[in-house]
Amino acid sequence: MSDKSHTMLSIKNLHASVDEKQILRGLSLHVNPGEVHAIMGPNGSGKSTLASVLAGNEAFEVTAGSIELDGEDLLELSPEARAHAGLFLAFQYPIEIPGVSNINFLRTAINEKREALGQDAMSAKDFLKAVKEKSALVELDNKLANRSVNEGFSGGEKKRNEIFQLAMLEPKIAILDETDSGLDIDALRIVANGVNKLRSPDRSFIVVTHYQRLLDYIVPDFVHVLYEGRIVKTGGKDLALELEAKGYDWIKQEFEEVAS
Amino acid sequence: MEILTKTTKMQALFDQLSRASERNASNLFFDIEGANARAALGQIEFPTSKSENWKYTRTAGITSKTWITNSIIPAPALPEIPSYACSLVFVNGILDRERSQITDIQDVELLKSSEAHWPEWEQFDFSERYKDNPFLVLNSALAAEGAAIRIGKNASSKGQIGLTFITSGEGQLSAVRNLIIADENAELTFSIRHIGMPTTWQIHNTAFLLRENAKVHVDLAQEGAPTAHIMTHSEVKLSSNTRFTLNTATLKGKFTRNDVRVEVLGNNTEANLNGFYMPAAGELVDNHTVIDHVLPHSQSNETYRGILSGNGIGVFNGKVFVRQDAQKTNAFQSNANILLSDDAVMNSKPELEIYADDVKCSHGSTTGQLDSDALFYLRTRGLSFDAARKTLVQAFAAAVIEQFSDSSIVKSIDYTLRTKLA
Repeated sequence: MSDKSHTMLSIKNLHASVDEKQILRGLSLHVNPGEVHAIMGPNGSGKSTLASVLAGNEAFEVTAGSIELDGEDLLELSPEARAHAGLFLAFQYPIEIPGVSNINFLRTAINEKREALGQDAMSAKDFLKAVKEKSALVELDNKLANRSVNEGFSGGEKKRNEIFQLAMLEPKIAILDETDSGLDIDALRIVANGVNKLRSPDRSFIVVTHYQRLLDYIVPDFVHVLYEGRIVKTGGKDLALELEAKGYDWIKQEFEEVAS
Repeated sequence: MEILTKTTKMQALFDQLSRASERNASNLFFDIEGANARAALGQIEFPTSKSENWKYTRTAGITSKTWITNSIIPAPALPEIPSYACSLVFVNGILDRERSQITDIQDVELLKSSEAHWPEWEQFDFSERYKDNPFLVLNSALAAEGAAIRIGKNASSKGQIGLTFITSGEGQLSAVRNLIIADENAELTFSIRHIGMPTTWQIHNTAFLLRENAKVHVDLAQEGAPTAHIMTHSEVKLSSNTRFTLNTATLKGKFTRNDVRVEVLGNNTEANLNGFYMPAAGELVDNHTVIDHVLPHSQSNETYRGILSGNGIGVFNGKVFVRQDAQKTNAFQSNANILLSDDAVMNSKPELEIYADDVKCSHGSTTGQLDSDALFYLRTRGLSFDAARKTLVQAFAAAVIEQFSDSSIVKSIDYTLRTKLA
C-alpha cells in the first residue's frame, strides 16, 4: 500500500466475534483517501462481519485491535457518531421500514450530521435540489424517493436507494456490502456508474463482493482476499480475475501451508 | 359461621354515594331503566379475578375507594377545550353551559339526554350486558345526563360537534348516558373527549343507532390524570348499508377500560374499530371489542396498536362472532404492540367464533420490541438513538393515527407521543 499523504482508515489486528464465535482474527487494512479497496473471499470468511463492525453493529463484539478514521478511534463511537464522522455502509440487505418516509428520514439524517459538525441545517430548497440531482445519479424514480424506506422496493431499487443515500450523505469512506448481490446486469451497471460518479480524491470505498463482475465496473486500486478472518492476500485488480478463474482453493491451500 | 349478607358490594357502593337518592331524571326511560338497574344492584357483583372479561384488569383498587357523585363544583383550571362549531362540555356529568358553545346545526338535534324523549332509548337493553360488564348496572343506576344527538334523513355534519366530558374534584364519580342516532342516509362525523382530573372515575355508556345508509365516524380521545379512571361502553346497532367508524386514542390515565360492541343487523355494512394506546408507568389500558356479524355481506376491520413503556399494562380482547346466517362476512382484526421496556406487560387475545362457512376472517396479534435492525439502519445514516426510536414509534403509530379525522385530536396524540418518549 502506498504511503502517500495520510491514511484515512486504519484497521489494525481486528478481532471480532458474534454469539461467542470468533469471526475476525487479526485483520489489518489501511485505506488512503481516494482509494477503492475490494474485499473478496469465500463464504464465511468474515466479509460482512467486517462491514458490520465498521458501521458499529452492536451484535458484534470487538475483542482486540483498533479502527481509526482520520486518527479518531472509531470503536469508541456510536453508529450515528461514525456516520457523522464520515462513514457510510451500504447494506447487503437494506431494511424495509414501513411508515418512515425515505425523504423525511434522509433530511433528518443530513441535518443531524450537519448539527454534529457544527453546520447549519440544509434549507428545504437545497435539500430538494440535492434529492433531484442524486436520485438521477442512480436513476432512482422520484416516486421511490418519496415512499417509505425500501418498502415494496425491488432488489435493484433497494440497492440503488442505498447508493442514493450514500450520495446524499457524502461520506469520506463508504463500505459497499455485496451491493452487487441480487442485481441483474442492467441494475449492476446503473449502481456501478453511480458509485463511479461519486469517486473523488478525498472519498474512499471498501467494496465487499463475491464476484469479480462488479469490479469490471468499479475498478479497484487493491484487491484483498479475506479468509478465516484475516487478509491473506493482497494484489491489484488482476487478482480478482485470477480468483474468478481459479476459485479460492489455491489461496486456502497457501494459507493452510503457511499456518502449518 | 360466615354471615350471609343479602346485599352486594355494588349495592353498598351505590348506597354510599351521597346524592344518589336525590337523582331526578326527567326522562321517563331513564327512570324506568334506572329503577330496574337499582333493583339489580343487589344481584350483580363487581368483577373478580375469576371474571373472564376482567382477567387482566383488576378493579378492586377502584371499587374499594370512597366516591361521591354529581355534586357539581366549579372546576378550577380545566384544560383548554378545542373549539367546534358546536361544543357540549359536561363537568361531573352535568352540562356546563358556560364552557359549552351551543349553536344550531341544520338537521341536527343536539340535546341533553334527559331532554331527549326519544323512543330509540328502548332499543338498547343493557341489562343483558350487566353480567359481562357489571359497571353498566352502576352506570344505569346513576346516570341522569349525557348528550343525545340525532342527525336527520339525508343530512350531513362533519367535524362540527365536539363532546367533552370532564370529571373533576377528589373522589368524583360521574356516570354518563349518550345516544347517537343517524337517520336514513345521514352522515355524521364528530369528536368525543374524556378528561379525568385527579382521583376521579367516569363511567360512560354510549349507544349508537345507524339507520339504513347512514355513516357515522367518531374520534375519541381519553386523557386522564395519573390517578384518574375512565370506563366506557359503546353499543352500536348497524342497519343495512351503513358504515361506522370508532377511533379511540387513550393517551393518559391510571386506568382506562373501553368496551365496544357492534351488532351487524343489516347487510352490506362496514364497521371500523381502531385504537391507539400508550400506557406508561402506572397506567393500564384495556380495550375489549365485540363485533357480532348476525347478517351476511358485511365487513369489519379492527386495528389496535399500542406502545407500552415503564411498567404500563395493556389488554386487548377482540371477539368476532360470525353467525350462521352471516355468509360472505369479511372480518379483519389486528393488534400490534411495541414494548419499550422490560417491565411493560401486554395481554392480547383475539377470539373468533365462526358459524358460517363462506367467510373471510383473519386476525393477528404481535407484541415485541422495536426492530433492532431498523434502529441500526437509521443510526448508520446518522440518526441518534432517540431520533431513530422516535421515528420508528411514530411510523408504527401512524397506521392508526391516520384513521383519525379530527386534527386537534391528532395533535394531542402527537404531543403525547413526543412527551412520553422523551
